[in-house]
Amino acid sequence: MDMTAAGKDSPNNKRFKSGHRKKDGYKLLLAALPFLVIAFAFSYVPLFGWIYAFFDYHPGIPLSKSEFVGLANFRDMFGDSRMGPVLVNTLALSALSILTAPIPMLFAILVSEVRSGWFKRLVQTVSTLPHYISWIIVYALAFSMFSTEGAVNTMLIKTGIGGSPVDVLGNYDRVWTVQTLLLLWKSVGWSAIIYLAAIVSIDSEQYDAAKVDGAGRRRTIWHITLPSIMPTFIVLLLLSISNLLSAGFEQYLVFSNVMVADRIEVLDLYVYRLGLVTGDYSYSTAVGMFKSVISIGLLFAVNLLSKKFRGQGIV
Amino acid sequence: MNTHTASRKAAAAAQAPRRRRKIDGKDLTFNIINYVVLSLLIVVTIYPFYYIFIYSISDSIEAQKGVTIWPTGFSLEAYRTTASLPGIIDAAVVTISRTVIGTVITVFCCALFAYLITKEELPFRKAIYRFVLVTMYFNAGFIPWYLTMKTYGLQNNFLLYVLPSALVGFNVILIKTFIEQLPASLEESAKIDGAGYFRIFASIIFPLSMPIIATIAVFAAVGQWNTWFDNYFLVENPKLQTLQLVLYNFLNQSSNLSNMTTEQLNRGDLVRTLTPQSIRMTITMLVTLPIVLVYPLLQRYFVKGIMMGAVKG
Amino acid sequence: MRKKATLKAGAALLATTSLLLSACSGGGNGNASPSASGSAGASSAAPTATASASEAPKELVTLRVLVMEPGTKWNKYPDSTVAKAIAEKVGVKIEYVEADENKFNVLLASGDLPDIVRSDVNKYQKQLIEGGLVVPMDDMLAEHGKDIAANIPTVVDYSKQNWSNGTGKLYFLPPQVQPKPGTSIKPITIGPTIRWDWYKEIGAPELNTMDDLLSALEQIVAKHPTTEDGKKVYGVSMWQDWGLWPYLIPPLTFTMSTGTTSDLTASQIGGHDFISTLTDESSNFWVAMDFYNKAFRKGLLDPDALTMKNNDYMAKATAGQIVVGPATWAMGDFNAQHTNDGKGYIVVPAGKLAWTGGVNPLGWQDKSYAISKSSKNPEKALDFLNYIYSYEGARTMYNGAEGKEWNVADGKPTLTDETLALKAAGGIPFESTGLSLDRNIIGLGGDVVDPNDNQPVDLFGAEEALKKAVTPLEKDFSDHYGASYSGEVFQKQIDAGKLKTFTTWMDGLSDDEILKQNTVPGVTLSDDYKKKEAALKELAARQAAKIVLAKDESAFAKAKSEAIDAFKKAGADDFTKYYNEEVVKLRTAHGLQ
Repeated sequence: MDMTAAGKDSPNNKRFKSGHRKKDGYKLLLAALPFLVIAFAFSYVPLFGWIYAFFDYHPGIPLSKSEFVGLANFRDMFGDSRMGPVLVNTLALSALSILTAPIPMLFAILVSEVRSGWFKRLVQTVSTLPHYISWIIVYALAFSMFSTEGAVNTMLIKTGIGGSPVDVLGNYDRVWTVQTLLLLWKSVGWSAIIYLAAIVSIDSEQYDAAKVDGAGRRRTIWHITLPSIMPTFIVLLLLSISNLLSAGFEQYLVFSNVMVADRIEVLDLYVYRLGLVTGDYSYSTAVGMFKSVISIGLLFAVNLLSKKFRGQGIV
Repeated sequence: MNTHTASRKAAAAAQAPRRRRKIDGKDLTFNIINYVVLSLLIVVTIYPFYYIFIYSISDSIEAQKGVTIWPTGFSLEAYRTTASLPGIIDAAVVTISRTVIGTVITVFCCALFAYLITKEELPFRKAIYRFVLVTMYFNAGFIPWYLTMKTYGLQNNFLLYVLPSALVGFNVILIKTFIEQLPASLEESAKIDGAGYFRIFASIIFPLSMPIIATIAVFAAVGQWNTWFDNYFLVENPKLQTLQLVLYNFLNQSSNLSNMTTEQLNRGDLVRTLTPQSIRMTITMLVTLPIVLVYPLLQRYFVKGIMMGAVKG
Repeated sequence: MRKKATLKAGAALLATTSLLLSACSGGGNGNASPSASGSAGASSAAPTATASASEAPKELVTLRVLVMEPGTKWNKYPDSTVAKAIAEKVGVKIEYVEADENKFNVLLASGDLPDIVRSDVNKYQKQLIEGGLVVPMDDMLAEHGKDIAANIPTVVDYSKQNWSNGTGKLYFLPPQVQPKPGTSIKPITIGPTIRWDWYKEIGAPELNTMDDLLSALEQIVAKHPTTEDGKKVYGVSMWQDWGLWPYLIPPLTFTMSTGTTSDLTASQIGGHDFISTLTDESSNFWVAMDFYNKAFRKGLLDPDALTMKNNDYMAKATAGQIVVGPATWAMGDFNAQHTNDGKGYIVVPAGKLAWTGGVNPLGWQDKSYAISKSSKNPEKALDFLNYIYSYEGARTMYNGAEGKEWNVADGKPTLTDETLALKAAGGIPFESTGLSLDRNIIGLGGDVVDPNDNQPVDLFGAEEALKKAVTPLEKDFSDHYGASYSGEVFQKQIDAGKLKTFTTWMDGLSDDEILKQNTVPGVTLSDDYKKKEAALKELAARQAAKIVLAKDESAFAKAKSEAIDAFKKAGADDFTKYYNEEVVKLRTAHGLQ
């Protein structure tokens, strides 16, 4: 006892510290264990289903009686001539939504600069409303606004701004823009919630100090707010890059029509349509598996990049 | 006399903010632009909701011809019919329960786990973190999920609603990022005072992380509120039906033509007073209003500096 | 044929209704299109008291039936007249379990199937039989399936041969079996569905070709450029969420050319030589292209026709903005809103075909019943199936109980006026009786004649009931053609040889021959051809948009030849060749070629 409790300079102290750390470590590990069990039980165990991707599996017929097809389903997927344009659409729409990623952050900053309490709460709450509206209703709304007889066209014609009706929903050339704007509209307030949380946690002393230095609004935003919420932005950005292949599904399903179908068909939508035709469970499993693997790969790839350029990864 | 004091008060009021804060020209322009931009945003985000509202109280058949500013005709039949669906009250209770319990579980698990992950003393820290994170991207399909849940005895079990979502990778990443930005000095000083990890978590980290906790709570609550597929696949006990599924079935019934024959469609059954569209609008109103209120309720945790000050003081 | 249309409606609805609720965050695959399992009300229903006091109250067995469609209404009315009759006669209570494909897959994989399964036999027989999930009925048939054996022997034989996965046993029984066409024509629902008051106003000109229709539309729109509310009126419009439907079905009345198991091939009604829908210029697709393009160039086509969904179309029809549509049930609520002023949409005689007749000697195969292995009461399940194939059961399920909903006078069963009035009023009061609520649960088709009284099992389809059920619009229409109900208008033209039906080609054939011709299985596409078909249909829909919007004759010709080239390149001709070969194979195997 005496020995371990020896003075500061004793080499034993280090051992004591590391021993203490170890004990702490086990305590922490023990605490983390239940969470690992939860993750394993609910997320890892069901992955046994990935085995279906390698069989010609039809639900009801046991796997033992199903034909083993190896990588045939994956080969089908890559050999499909439609896959090229579908991936282009998927990546383009994902990329566009990543490009708009700073907008919710800017919106959050604008909201945080509002002085009036009630107005701030109003903006915060109201801007989340579109998130709760299902895509099928968004479509109904869009049709009532933008069809040739819709409110927008009627107004344009009445006021003499537009001569002939503008076709928004069937516009082949602008469909990516239109869909990106719709998505932005639907998600801007909702995504801003995270940034608002990050902004309020910035130490107010920093602002006070800046004010004393005579910094104006724009300078405090630039030098204090932005850097403070940057980590959150980067994390979300990297996560959305890892989700490149999941561009969305419902939105494009409801907004698809013959005029724009060629440019709106994303991976999930294509696989869904194929599933309706063939009902091939193994194939959809293969696609799901492929997407998971690509996402995880992308996550670690962007993490590496982040480490290289920021000196800090996210995972 | 009266007017005199009133105007003096007004003058004082006008002066008050000026004393508190200098408003220069640049700031003023910024403010004006900011308010204009945000007001525009309010208009474009609130109008759709208003549209849904007036559609839902319009006469269902007339509304098909289009509504823009005012309801066309007036009818609360969609609300009456929806509210009197059999079992809807029980379903609402189930949904509220799963929302409250599920949210508490998710928030607690994600926050505690995220905190553990920030501790460098934790052995295999990175591996453990990644082990949980990658589950974000897992998608095994319905069949293995169903079989797994059934094996765990979660079929017809309320726990099915709240347990599988306990640990969400996305939430963990957000909370962890947040905790890492808190000043380390706070925790250090508590440690010197002899506080253990869990006391530090409960008395310092958790309250300090209130903004992100509130955010996660909003996400989790909305997710719980809207989820029905677990109910659809695995729960047949009518006592455990969720609101979303009851409404979903109702909407399906109102819009399904496939089990009517053409003769029925020809005459008799087209005498309808409610269209699927107006039922859809009504359901959106009924389902969204309660959950929309969750966010404003939690917004008090979004007030600047409050928590920081409290802990420091 | 009629069924095909409603099925498509169902499929389209299934796709759209799956998107209704707002984003579900934990949505797994994201492609679930869910629906109900047993509704809350159903389970609380106590054993229904039987009407006759003499019988001791029986213990009711609950049979759960898996149905593969969302939004059925059966469970909503556990105490309906029909449910009570089933309880009394069979001692069972029927409860639906709804499933979409995802849920069905899950139940197949886990073996948790309800007592009875109603599914597409051609699609699922292998999984159900090979997986040991359904039981053969053969051994129970003698004791529990007397009416099945007596009333639908052809189906039983066919089922053993073709739907047993090679085992030769009886596993599947489809509903709505109807070997012979009915005698009287019910209101026709598919065909040029025109605004009757406007069409009459221009003198109801004959519509022998689609060009005739176009000129009628032109005259009408010139007279009525806007509705009473001041909205623009369009000659014709379309919706785009049912695939090629708007191109393949409306011309059928004029071409008599129809597909069977694929949209890409078509033959004359009753024929066996299939042409390509896409590369043969006489096909419905090209007739439609011509029609819509002309309509577009004359300014008669709704500018939103290429982006709208069915729901949007119905809304426009409700507002009275469309002059002619493809079917009565597509025209929204317009008729219901104008029940008394004689305005409304009605199918008028046109072209060569009246959309009526047709036989279904094998029933609706995509709704076939099977008893699952996990059922604790397979005998009871068969008792129930036997009931739905009995004349008494079918009559009860269509029309209700004798002495209540219908009476026998002079040996002839007749619906009471109250029942007819209830049906005419429609809505929940009629629905809650359960009469004809779900035809998929009735074994015999409505036009099957009950040999005991020589009337169709569905009395709503008897001529007398049809006459009584005439609406003011229908009356005005019938008067114009000198008939007493709308079916008679067509009947007269059919008798005069002006119009044909789906069964005209069978005239002069013996009953056996008719049966033989109609029990040849349709071509089942392999997965590869299914994918090819889907890709071609997508391509066709996209090309169609360009063709319809061609600005002038030469642009149309150019778009047309480009499209045909594209279809050929994508294998449309190869598909047709394969299809025809399969048809010959199947017909040869059945001794018909």
